[in-house]
Amino acid sequence: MVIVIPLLGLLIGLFAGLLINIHLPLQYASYLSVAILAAFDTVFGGIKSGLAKQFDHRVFLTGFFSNTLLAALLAFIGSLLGIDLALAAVVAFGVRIFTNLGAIRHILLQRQKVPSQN
Amino acid sequence: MDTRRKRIAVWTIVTTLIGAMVSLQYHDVVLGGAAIWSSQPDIASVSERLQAVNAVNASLRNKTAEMLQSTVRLQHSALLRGGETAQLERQMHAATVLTGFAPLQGTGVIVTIDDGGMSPVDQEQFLTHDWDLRSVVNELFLAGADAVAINSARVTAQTGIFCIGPVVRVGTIRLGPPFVIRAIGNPGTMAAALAMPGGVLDALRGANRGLRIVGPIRENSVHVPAYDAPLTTLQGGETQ
Repeated sequence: MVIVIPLLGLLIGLFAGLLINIHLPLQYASYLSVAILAAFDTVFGGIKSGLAKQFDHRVFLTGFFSNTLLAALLAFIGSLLGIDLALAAVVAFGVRIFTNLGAIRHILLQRQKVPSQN
Repeated sequence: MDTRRKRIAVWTIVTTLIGAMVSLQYHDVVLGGAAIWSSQPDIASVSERLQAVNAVNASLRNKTAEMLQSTVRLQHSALLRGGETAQLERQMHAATVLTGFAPLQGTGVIVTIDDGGMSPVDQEQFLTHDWDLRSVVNELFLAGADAVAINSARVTAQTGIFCIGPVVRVGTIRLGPPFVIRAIGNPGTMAAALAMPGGVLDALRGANRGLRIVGPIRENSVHVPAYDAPLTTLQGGETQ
């Protein structure tokens, strides 16, 4: 139940995006990609903190929106100033995503270890 | 709402939004090759803007041409009516024709000059140059042409003809081969002047440059476009 409803939401979102014929102008595509990276980062962070029993839904929800919007906004400001902040965001969020993935893997491995020791 | 439900609600909101964002981006990437690099020049919007500006320019040009034609028609009718203003109208008409402000139609000749076959060794000598076009245009004017145009560019007293790299600039317009030179005037005189033995076209044909020259062809109805005048302030004033 905990996973099923969010997964259903994911599927609904995917279908909605594919079926609704909205196209972002090409110049905004880079901001959406940065926003997506920020969103992925938040989600993996949320999964990690959930597994570590530190999940706080307020932190998660505000983090999701502020990270996503701020990342897109920063990339936009960067493009106005001629600084490729989108590239910086790709690197920064990429590193964070892989760090979080590593942490998730560690927590899962630790969990499996604990019952086997008992 | 208990924490568990809140947690599910929050995750559902987030995953739904992520799903929508990802599929939107996927859509755009598949259709338009949307790229992450913001430093890429925004070719799409620039070309859209260019098209819009070109469309506006074209409609304005059409409007100008229509207005010019109606002016010419009015002047013609005034000429036919005669009277006191007839002399003035005649002068106006002559000025309109000679300055190139009206598109003209009448008897004349057409000469087409195209670049010769390219040789990788010396490409330059096979290109049509500004002086080639100038010599033909000069010969036409000397033979009494009232109006001359190269492709879409009317040649007026203010029209310079000069090479810019591989293209030729005629006035404000850049032209590439083939160059179709249309002239309105006495077809017999102009054709004879161009085709004179040892004349302009003979010189171009005989220079071993492979230029493809068609004509002079005499035509009963040659159309010469109006001069696309730049809207700049004119310097200098009239003197007595």
